[in-house]
This record gives sequence, structure tokens and C-alpha cells, in this order.
Amino acid sequence: MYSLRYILYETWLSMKKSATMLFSAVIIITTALSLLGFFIVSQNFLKVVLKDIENNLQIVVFLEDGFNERTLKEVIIPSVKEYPQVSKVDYIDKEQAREELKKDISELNEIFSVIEDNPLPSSLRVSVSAPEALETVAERLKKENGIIIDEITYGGENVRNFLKASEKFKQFSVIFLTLFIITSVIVTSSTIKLTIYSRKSDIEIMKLVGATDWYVKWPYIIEGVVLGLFSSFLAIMLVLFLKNSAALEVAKSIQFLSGFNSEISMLEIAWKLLVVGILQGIIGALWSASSILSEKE
Amino acid sequence: MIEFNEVSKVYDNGIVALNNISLRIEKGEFVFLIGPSGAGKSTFLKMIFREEKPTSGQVFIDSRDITPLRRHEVPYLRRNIGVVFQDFKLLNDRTVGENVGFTLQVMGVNPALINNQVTKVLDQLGLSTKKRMYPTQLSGGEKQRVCIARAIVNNPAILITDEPTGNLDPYISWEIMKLMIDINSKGTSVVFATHNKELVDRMRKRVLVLKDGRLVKDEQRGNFDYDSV
Repeated sequence: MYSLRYILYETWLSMKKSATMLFSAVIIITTALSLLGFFIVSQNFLKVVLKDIENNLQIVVFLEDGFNERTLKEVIIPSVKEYPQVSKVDYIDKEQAREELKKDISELNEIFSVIEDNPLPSSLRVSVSAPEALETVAERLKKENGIIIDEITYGGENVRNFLKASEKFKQFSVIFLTLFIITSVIVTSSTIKLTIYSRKSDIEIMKLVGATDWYVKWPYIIEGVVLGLFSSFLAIMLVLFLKNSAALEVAKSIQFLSGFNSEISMLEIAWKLLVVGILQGIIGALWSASSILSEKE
Repeated sequence: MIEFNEVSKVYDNGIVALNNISLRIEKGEFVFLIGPSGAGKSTFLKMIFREEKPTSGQVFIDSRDITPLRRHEVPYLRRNIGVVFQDFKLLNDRTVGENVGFTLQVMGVNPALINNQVTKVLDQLGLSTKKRMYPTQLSGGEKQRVCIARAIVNNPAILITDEPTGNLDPYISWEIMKLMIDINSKGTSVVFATHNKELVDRMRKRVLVLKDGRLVKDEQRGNFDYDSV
């Protein structure tokens, strides 16, 4: 009980004594944690993009005018729906196509009002479940259906490349994150080590009068926790500020990214940074204090 | 009681600091440790509070072999041994009172008890008025008395002093000596390493002479003489 009181007092004295060094430590740890924060944000960003792409894996089949609409609706669409990789088939007739275009590009309203004929083709929007299925389904659509297809479009190659790249990014992320955390612990440990070295003679005196290793270590561990807490707090503020800053406002203006800002939970980032920050502080302090205490042995 | 049984210490660089030392210091005894620089006096003292371990042989404190003590057991040994250094080793960011009470603080003693004990010891050493001062505001003699106060505040069975008068003038040195005698008279064993001829010759206590790591003389009521051996 009294020991706790003394240890807190020792922590206070020790922090007061190395205030400048602690300030540098806060800057270093805050920078490291902020990078981690941005990394989490960018991962979430990628998740949103991937989700959007996966939800919109679609083949558009433009139909040549003059097809039999009844055959299309009663035979072809149900048969396409039976394809194992197809999740949905929507028929967009010429009129719907025009309305959608007018909605997307309002400037066209005037043009459409003077053109009597609708130049837009009818189409089928075939949604598939996986990017690998795009090409197979497109080929099958071309071969198997008795409809006159004008053109088939899908971002097959690009989508596949993007998904491949993002898969690689995910794998590298894990390696990067592990290396990053190890590096941060080493940086924290070295910084705390410097503060301990500056009080080496104090530690020597403590040991001479009979202080146990833990009595010596505790103030540094508490110091590590305080460092971690304070640095995490600063990093959270920085990430929050930048997340809401102009750069992401631009991202917001891109339609499919509109939900991005609200989809990233700041609470999730905050607790992750707090846990990493505090753990970094504790591990760093324990590591450096133990290595200094064992030097004599 | 302190006992050395065929203790030798060879440092990593090959220097032989102690060479086959065997001796016994009884409880409540006062012993001077003398010898030229590099004779092994500091290593001898460090063996007692387990700052160094023997390369061979054993060191006993109160009949307990401290050689195989594990790291976490050492602090408890040290709580029963007071140590005074020539360079004081005081914490400059703490007051005299805090420095003296520090020994009790690391033992987790109640603050009220620490305060009582510190006041008592400072009074005994004539430092009552300095309690709230910092070491940097004190003279050399006062610093050494603070160091002694810290070493005896928990009534240790053994007091080790490594040239405590080395930096002090003759008058202050004699004052420190009188304090040591006073502490010894209350039952604490004192091992006093020194280069001060006058103190040793005047006190006529047991004198251990170390030379090149060997115990070359062990004399009751001895004097300061290591040139003849």
C-alpha cells in the first residue's frame, strides 16, 4: 500500500527529471501511432472500394433493336438466371435507359426533349457473384442465347487486376503491420532507455539501499503507460483531424465513396491506437529497464 | 558476523583483486581495512553487500552463505547492511530528509514511522536543521553525515564505509570517526576502509592489511602500517 504511494511518487520525480526527453519520446511515439492510424484508415478505405466493386460485378448486354421482348422476358432472362454464377438479371428497356441517362447527366434533358427517337439500346444487366465469372458468363451469353447482341461490356481484366493487387496489398499489410509494431516497440524502448540511462546513478543508489528490481522498474512501467496514453491521444486527434480534412472531402465527392467517412469507426481506430500505444509503452519500458538492471549481473 | 572462506576474485580482464582471503569479523566488532590503492579494499567491501561475487570461495553473513544468493534475494541482504561511500551517492533532487528516509521507503515502511526514524537519526547526527535542505546546499562533511544517516536509519547489523573521510578535512574526519564509534558502541559491526593514518593510529582497533589482493596482516589494536609487510 505504502509502496504504491512511493512508486507513484518515484514516477512523478522521474518524469519531472527527464521532461525534455519524454517530450521527444511523445513526438516519436505519436508519429509512429499516427502512421498506424493512417494505415488502419487506408485499409478501411480499401475495404469500402472492394465491397463496392464486388457488389457491382456486372455484365451489360446491349441488345440490337428488333428483338422479341416476350421471348427475352419469358425464355432468355429465366435461362440466364439459371447460370450458377449469375446472381441477378435486370432488363433495362430503351425508355428506362433514357430516364437513367437523364438522371445521371441533367444537361441531356434539353437534348432529349428535342429528339423524338430514342437512340439508346435496351440492355440486360447481368450481375455475377465473383470476378472470375465475368468472362465465362460473357462468353456463354454470346454463344447460347438466341438474341442479337450488339455489344457486351464488363471491366473483366481491370477488375481482376485490381482485386489481385488488393489481395497482395492485404498480404503485405500484415507483414508491414508486424514490422511496424516491432519497430515502434524498439523506438519506444530506446527512448525510455535513454531516460533510464540519465538516471542510472539514482538506480544504483536505489539498489544499494535494498530496492528490489520491481521497485526500480515500476516507475518506468507507469511512465511507459503514461507515454503510451498521451501519445495515443495525440495520434487519435491527428488521425481524426486528417480523416475529416479536405483530402477526404474530395473522396466523398466520388459517388461510390460517399459512405466512406461514416463507414470508418473512429472508436475502433481509437481503441486500437490506445491498446498499441499502451502496450508499446509497457513492453518498451520493461525491456529497457530489465536490460539496464541486468547489466550489473 | 562476517566470514570470508578462501575468497578469491579475478575480474574478466584477468586482474586478481582478492587472493584466497579467509577471515572472520565478529558481531559488534570495529575493523579498519587498509592497504595501498588497488590492493582490493573496494572489492573486499563489495563482496559483503553482494555487489560482486567471488570467483571462488564463500562469503558468510550471519552464518548464511551469500555467494549463491539469487538476484531477487540480494535486496533483502542489503537492507541489513549500511553502506557509506567517499563520493556520498546522494540523490540531489531530494531533500536530506527524503535521502535518509529512502532506505526505509524502499522497504515499504509507513510514512509516519519513516518521519519519526529520520528525525531521530538526523538529531543523532546533528543534522536536524538540514532536514529540508538539498544535498547541493550542504558542505562535504554534512553530505557525509547524511550518507551515514541513510546507512544507519534502519539499524543495520553491519556498516560498511569505503574511505568516508577521503574528501574531508582532519577536523571533520575526526567528527565522522566519532560517529562511527558511537554507532559501533550500539552493536553494529563496522568495516572501515581508509587511507587516513591518523585515524587508524589513534583508534588502535583491529586492522586488516590488504596488498595485491592478499590479506598480509590481521592485527588486533593495530596501526597504519602496510609498507613493512
